[in-house]
Amino acid sequence: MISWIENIARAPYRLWGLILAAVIMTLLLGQIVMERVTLLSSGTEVRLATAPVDPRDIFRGDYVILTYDISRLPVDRLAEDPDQFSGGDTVYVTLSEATTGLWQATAMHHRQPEADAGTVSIKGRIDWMDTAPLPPTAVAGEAPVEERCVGCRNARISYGIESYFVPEGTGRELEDMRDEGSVTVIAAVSENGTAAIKGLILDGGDPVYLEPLL
Amino acid sequence: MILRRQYIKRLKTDLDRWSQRGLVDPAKIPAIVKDAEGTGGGTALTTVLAVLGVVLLGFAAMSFVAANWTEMSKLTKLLVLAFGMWGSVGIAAWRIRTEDEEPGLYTEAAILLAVILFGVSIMLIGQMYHIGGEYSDGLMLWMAGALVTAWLVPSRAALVLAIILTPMWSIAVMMENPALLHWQFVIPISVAGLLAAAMGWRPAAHIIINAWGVRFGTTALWLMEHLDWSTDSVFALAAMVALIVFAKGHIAMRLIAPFEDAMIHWGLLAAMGTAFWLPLASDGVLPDETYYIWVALIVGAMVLATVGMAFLQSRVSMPDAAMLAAATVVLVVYPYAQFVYGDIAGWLFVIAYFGASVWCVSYGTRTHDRFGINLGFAAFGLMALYVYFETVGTLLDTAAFFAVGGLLLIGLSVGLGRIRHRLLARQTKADKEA
Repeated sequence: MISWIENIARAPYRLWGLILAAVIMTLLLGQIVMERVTLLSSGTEVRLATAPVDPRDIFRGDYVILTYDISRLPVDRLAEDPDQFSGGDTVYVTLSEATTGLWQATAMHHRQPEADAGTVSIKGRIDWMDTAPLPPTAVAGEAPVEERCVGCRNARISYGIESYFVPEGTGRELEDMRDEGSVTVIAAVSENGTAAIKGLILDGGDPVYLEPLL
Repeated sequence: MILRRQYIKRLKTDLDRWSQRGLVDPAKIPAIVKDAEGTGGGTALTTVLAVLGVVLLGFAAMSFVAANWTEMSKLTKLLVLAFGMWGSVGIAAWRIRTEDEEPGLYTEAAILLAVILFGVSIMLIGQMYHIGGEYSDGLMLWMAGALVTAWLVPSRAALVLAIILTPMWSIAVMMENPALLHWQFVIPISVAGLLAAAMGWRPAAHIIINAWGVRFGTTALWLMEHLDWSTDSVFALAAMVALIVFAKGHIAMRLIAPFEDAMIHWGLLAAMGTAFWLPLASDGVLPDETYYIWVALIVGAMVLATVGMAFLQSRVSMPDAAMLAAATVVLVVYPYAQFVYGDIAGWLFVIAYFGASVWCVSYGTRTHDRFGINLGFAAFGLMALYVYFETVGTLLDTAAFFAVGGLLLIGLSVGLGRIRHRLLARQTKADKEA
């Protein structure tokens, strides 16, 4: 076996090997692109409200950090087995559309649930757990302030749609609008829960930054 | 230069044909070729200008793309990336077809550029489609592409890139999932190591060993942070792992023969380096007995087994084997001794370290290895300085401290320097006679 490995490694250049390696790399890149294009073209469209970001976060060049109302969710209220959730877990958050047109969280699971009509399941990962108070709009049918659970565990969740690249010079303005809560994100969610950003809506107007597929 | 090489190649073919027809004396062919290769100094300037011109064109192309990137459609961007990568592949293919059978500088450069552009494409496609999530996935893909290219072509440049990307990928995964010890690192780095050994390419050994070193470093930090291991435990284990590498370098195995020197030198350096820090960084905390003792015993057994194998092959002498075995026992026991006996254990370890430094010099002398000699002297001198700082230094005021320290340093450098010089001279003489 050692001789076989040495024969491969010490051979002179193989033109077919070079071409094959280039084809493999091209196919890998193509697979990334096709996956995104398929997701954006055939995934269920949901609209998500963005939430203000900690002002200590730094705007990195032409890169905007997005967080959502569904980025921090009360595990005790949404999950049937809240004690089983911890940092690093993969979760599936069930979303349903509110009368405002925005989608909100109704349940949280470790495994992808059966799809119900009018709901979408989005896949995420728990970054950490905390007990700090939540903003009022994260959960559908949120209880009034005086009835909300004090000291309940919340999960900080990432869905893979937290970064948005914009043309140079436009990021600061977009960040300000995001912090004012006037940015809504249009996301496409596939059947397996993977999400991708399709576009942004500013101030409740028509979609801007609507992403072409190619 | 390209035209010149083509001319020389054509000339050789013509000369062979002419000699077969009896038109040229075969005995004169080497002289003719040598004469043809030696001339043409005047073309160097044109070659330089041509290369500069190509470089400027390249910068022009990159500047144009960068200036118009945001205005381009996604399809155009994808085509630009594809052309860039396949253009580099095309240059490499042309070099292979017309010039190189053995690893050539320009061919390797073109292959490396293609793999780099593959990585750049991954990042830019992620940006184009706002693919969030972890950088580690992109790094993993890039590493895989580099490794596959290194294997298929085969290419040394692609292999180096794959080796560099592997610990970067592992660190990215561990930063994104801090509670996770990323064992998957072992797979690609082992494949890269196998490929490098099979290529017989010695420089790769140094890069691979350093990649492993980075990984052991991050593992040590992880043990301290997530399993609450004490500093003593982690450093002691690190020193034992380094001893395994050192001993393994002495075992004769055909596949890792190109790696032997690198393993011996890096293993010895890492062992002496981590052991040096043991008394300095000791926190006097009892090791977690559930895990540490078992891991230490297993790793210690591995050290002894490796040393034993090297001894049976007569690659390690009895005194060296005994020294390594004793060092292993000291390292296993040290964290407990430090907890129980405190400073006394620390000072006894310092004495043992001086002994190890002397052994290092002796080992280097007997095996005609200057690295061992130099390392032994350096380790001895540094530990002497540490002892001075910890003892005499605390008893003196500042001025006296620096004065005595300076005299000690000068004395050490003169004394150790003379001994070292004598040993190296004897070494050089023995090498010449051999």
